[in-house]
Amino acid sequence: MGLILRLAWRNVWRQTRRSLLTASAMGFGVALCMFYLCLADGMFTMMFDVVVGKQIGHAQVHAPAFPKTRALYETVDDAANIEAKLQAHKDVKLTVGRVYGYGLLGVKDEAKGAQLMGILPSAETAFRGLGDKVIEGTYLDNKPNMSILLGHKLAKEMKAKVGDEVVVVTSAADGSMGNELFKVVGLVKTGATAIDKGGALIHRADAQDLFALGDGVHELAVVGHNQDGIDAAVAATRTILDDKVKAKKLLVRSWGEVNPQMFEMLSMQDALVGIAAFLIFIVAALGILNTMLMNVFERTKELGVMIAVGLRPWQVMLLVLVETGILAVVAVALGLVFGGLGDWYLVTQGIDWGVALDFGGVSLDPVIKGVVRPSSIVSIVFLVFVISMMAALWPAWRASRVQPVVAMREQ
Amino acid sequence: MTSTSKTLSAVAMAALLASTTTTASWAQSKAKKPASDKGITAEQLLNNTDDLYRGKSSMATVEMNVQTKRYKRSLQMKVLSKGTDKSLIRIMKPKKEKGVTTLKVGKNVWNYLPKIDRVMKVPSSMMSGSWMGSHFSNDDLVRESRFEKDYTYSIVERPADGKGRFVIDCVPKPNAPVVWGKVVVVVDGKSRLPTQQKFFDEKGRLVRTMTYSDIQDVGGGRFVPLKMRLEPANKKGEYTEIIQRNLKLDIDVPDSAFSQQSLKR
Repeated sequence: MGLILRLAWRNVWRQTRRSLLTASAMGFGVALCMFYLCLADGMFTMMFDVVVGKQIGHAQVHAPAFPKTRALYETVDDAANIEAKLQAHKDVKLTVGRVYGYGLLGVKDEAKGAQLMGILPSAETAFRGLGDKVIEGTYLDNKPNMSILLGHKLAKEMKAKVGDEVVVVTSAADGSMGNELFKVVGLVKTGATAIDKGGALIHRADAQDLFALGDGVHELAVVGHNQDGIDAAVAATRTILDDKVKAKKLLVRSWGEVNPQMFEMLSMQDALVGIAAFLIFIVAALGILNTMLMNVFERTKELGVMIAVGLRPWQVMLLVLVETGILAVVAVALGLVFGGLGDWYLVTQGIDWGVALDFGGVSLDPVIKGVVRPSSIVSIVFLVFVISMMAALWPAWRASRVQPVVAMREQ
Repeated sequence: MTSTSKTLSAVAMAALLASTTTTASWAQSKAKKPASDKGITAEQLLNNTDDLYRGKSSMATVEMNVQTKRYKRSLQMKVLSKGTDKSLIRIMKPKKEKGVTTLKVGKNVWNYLPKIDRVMKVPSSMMSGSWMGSHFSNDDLVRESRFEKDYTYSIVERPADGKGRFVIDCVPKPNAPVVWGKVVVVVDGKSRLPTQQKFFDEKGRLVRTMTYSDIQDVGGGRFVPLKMRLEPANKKGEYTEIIQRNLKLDIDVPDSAFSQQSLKR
């Protein structure tokens, strides 16, 4: 075996230029794939983060009719209790309960209908950094004190400023006219058009009073520990609320069920690796096939001598394959170096798209940063080797079939 | 024209005028009492319906009971109205909503909310919303259409021998400020007062039914059904019931009673 290796190594570098060219071409393919996947993974991770991590959560709990009707009285009752139970589970990092309603907001002489969202300020900040989205004034206090945050575009339209008084009139769940005075403590820019343009945020307890909801909420969003803990969090939620779900009192859904389009889109991530693999296949296979065929053809005489001297056919095949292997290793090394450079640039600098992308009702950062998934790189490298070997099989077999007498006669 | 014919036409004119006036006042007095003659017209029946609780002005204590799938509400309120375009409604019970007042002038509706001591005008976008959680909308409060003016109508059923009822099909005229596709008015043969109104959308589907009952003498020769019940067609078991108590018609009430200042009082 050692002999074959030494022979193979020498053979490869006897044709320095050709070998380097072939290896470089394949290496370039590898680098390109790495760059492309890094960018794609970066984009998907960002979309996932924003839509799932920061809006939907990993699992959601509603009253069964709520997703369709979004009616005020379709509440999750006994919310505080359920929240506590979920929060206590080891696979759950965070549970946030929200109230959704609609009301007429009046500031000085302007009156406008708006979406009202009742939140627990600290929980929402932990969930999606809401506290950092305040662009003027301050965030809501942890104690309910009739403060209101206005979407910054809504505030502009209503000519409302921090410190202004807002009259809120609603249709409460008991049929009466909910009415309260709130004070604008801040303006928010969340990136979600629903709130920025036509919504306002108040403390959940204030919302429950205003809408006569008792202790009910409309939505519970559950988040697990990082992206790998999603399934565990969803399972935990289903388990804890199993009897209520069976009694048709609650509906528990994973993020993929809440937003099927997002789910479909993210499954494309793996499809993209497949496309990359296909590209590599073409580049590698053609490169190797071409090179090794030429190689073998040129060395017919030499091969003939070797077989005459005693090299067995299978050893000839092995020789060609090992030569291929060496080329592949060089290619991968080159590819990893340049691909690595490209990935490093993407991860640290990213690509500036110039315009904020609107996706899923959310404005995404125009700068897309790359994300490196080790599994993607491993797949690419593995494929290069496999494809190269497969492409070299035929030339190797041809080489092993060389007839010494015929070969040596060739000049 | 000769002097003879001039005189003749003058006499004819006078006679015509006299008879018209007589007929008019005769007709007017007839419309106010439950009559048994068959000469009554669709216009008269429809005007009865339009002017059911109206006089030049009115004051009443009204009880409103609302039953929906989600809640049951019972409100007591004082209602003041003048003509067709001014009304003031003040909630007296329950305690939670005492003092909430709705003022309607023309097409505008304001609400006074005592808890926060503020007046809010209802924007046009919310006019189709429910009033006080009932099946009536703010639009219903400002309704200014009249059957005679805004609809084409025909009597499709008449009572026989003083028994039975009038059924009048009414279809709104093309530019009428009306949301319905058709309204069917059922009037009692004897009392000449409406017993029911059925409201249909443009596709001919029944949307809601208004039923009148408990006819009482409210003085001045006027008879009025004190109970009104509105039932939405697509929500079984839901209704809004309005019961008039102490209805006083044609009382003295100044225009200033229907101002934003009086809202707060």
